[in-house]
Amino acid sequence: MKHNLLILLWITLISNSPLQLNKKAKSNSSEESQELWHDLITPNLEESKIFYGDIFGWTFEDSNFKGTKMTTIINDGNVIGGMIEVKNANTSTWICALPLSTEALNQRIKSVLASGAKAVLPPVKIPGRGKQVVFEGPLGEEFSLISENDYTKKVTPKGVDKSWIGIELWASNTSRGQEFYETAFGVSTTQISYDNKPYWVFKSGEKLVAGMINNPITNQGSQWVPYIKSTSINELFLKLKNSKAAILLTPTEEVRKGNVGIIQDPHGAIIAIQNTKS
Amino acid sequence: MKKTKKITLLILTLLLMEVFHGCANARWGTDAGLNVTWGPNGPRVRPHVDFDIYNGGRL
Repeated sequence: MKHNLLILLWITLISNSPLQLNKKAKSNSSEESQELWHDLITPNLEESKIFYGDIFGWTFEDSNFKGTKMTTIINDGNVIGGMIEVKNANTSTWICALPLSTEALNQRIKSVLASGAKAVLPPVKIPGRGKQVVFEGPLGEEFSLISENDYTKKVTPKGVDKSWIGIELWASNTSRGQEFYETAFGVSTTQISYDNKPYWVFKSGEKLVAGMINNPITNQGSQWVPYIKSTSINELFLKLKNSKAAILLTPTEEVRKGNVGIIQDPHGAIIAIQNTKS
Repeated sequence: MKKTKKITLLILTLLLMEVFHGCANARWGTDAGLNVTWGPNGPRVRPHVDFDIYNGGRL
């Protein structure tokens, strides 16, 4: 279903020439030290804005391109991502995009495709945002590459309250996930053990870029899950209980000492919220 | 005849109740034991997180 939505979006935008598979490109860690860009694809932009605005206090700057409604998310005066309305989407979903310079983007597209991903949204040029490609990885997870632009350059460094901490791949096959991201992005992977359960970190050089766990969702496939920082997780979940969100994990002492909660927004997108004091 | 009318009315009422229930943003279980949520464009399965597996939030 998600594919249809992305194709629909593609039709409304200006497409480039078709992709061609080429030899994989080498990684370029300096290009990839950028903060990630996050887009929410939602069937109802207004409802999503109301939900995220109420819960996180985000504000929005709307735009419209050829009938496609989009908005830029502002957290405490700083740009942190965007939302795009796709009317016939059955569910909403957060898609994380790695911003790259034009040259690095073209190289990375080739290496990602050569490593086994499919382009579900071929390169499109979005006014003010440049080129963007959405892929489906070998585990069925979706991610994106985007050209650096005025918005991605403004993204607040991670770790700010009510903004992104990072992303985690909930993988149904961690070996395949590791192999793919090492090949396609040139990252290194380290396996750690917490509470006798494995955890993998992806690093670009010395920089931690993402985490990976065995997919804990028993009735859905692999996906990238964004984490949002909160300095008051319990208050936030009191608010969430009275909202249209579905709470998948209420912070509890038994799971990460009550410092993590997981929700599904009113249209289905999963996000995790992590408590940090500062 | 009266009995037939009553039965028809009852069936119609039940059907209407089912329609209103279907239109609401309600959650209910399926025969397969899945927790289903009604989305704007059709039903979707509510994810089930297994906390014996979950080990996230180490970022």
